Amino acid sequence: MPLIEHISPATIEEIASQLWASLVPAEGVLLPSAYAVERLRRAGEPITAAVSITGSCDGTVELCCPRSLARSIAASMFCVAESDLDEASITDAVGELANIVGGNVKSLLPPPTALSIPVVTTARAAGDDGTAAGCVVGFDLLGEPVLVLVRDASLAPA
Amino acid sequence: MRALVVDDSRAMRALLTNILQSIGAEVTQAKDGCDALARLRSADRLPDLMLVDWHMPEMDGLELIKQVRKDPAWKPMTVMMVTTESEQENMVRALLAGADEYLIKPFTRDAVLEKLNLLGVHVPEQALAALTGG
Repeated sequence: MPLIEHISPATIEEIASQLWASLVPAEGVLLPSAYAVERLRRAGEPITAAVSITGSCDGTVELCCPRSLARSIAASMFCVAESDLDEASITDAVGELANIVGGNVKSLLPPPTALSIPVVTTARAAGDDGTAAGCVVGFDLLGEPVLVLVRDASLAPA
Repeated sequence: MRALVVDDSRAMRALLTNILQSIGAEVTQAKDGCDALARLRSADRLPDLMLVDWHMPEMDGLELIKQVRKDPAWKPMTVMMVTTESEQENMVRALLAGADEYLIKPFTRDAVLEKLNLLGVHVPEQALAALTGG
């Protein structure tokens, strides 16, 4: 069953906005941005966290942002200064955000579905140029881009 | 109050620990179900409250709650599942396993305190007043 039939950009905006307002309110307001894809391409080193959904629908949910923003987010979640963060903490924080977005996406799908443990890489999300087979929603946070990609495995090229 | 926060995410453990410490709780952390059981077995004094994530490596939260509820000595402990699993069927599974309450991620600090108050966990009046805008 196509995952994307159950998810819309508006749904992703709602989930991501709620996530930010709940967990990292000190980091400002997450605003939808039509330019996030382009800005992420020009930004510094990216970090991408992904969780896989399997079951009645198969796909992945990915969250991608510049490492500088990931550092700010992690500092807020750990309630420490950015200078006190190690790499593992940044990875963990971004992974947990992807896990929560993925869990909320999963809840919109018909059962049974399962969610994987997050995988975090220091690469841009494939398809973050808007060509991902699924849904790509861009945001602006503190002047930096954030992308949430919901990739539908049933739409991937054979 | 003593609390044990069980989550494989260090960031989530830090967030929950900060919330609990803000109401005066003494908090310890565990990174999965096995770690939590080891800490409970070696604890001088049992926690009053345990917050448990569902999806964790080694032993998940559902299994941890089942194990905890098997031991009569651990029965007085209040257990709240804190998870992204928002399907009603899963809430029922957690409650049947022995969870006393269920909180869906993402959560706000206020949502955590409201749930704790409902569970009869002591939340200082000042924090409660802030919840009600008083």
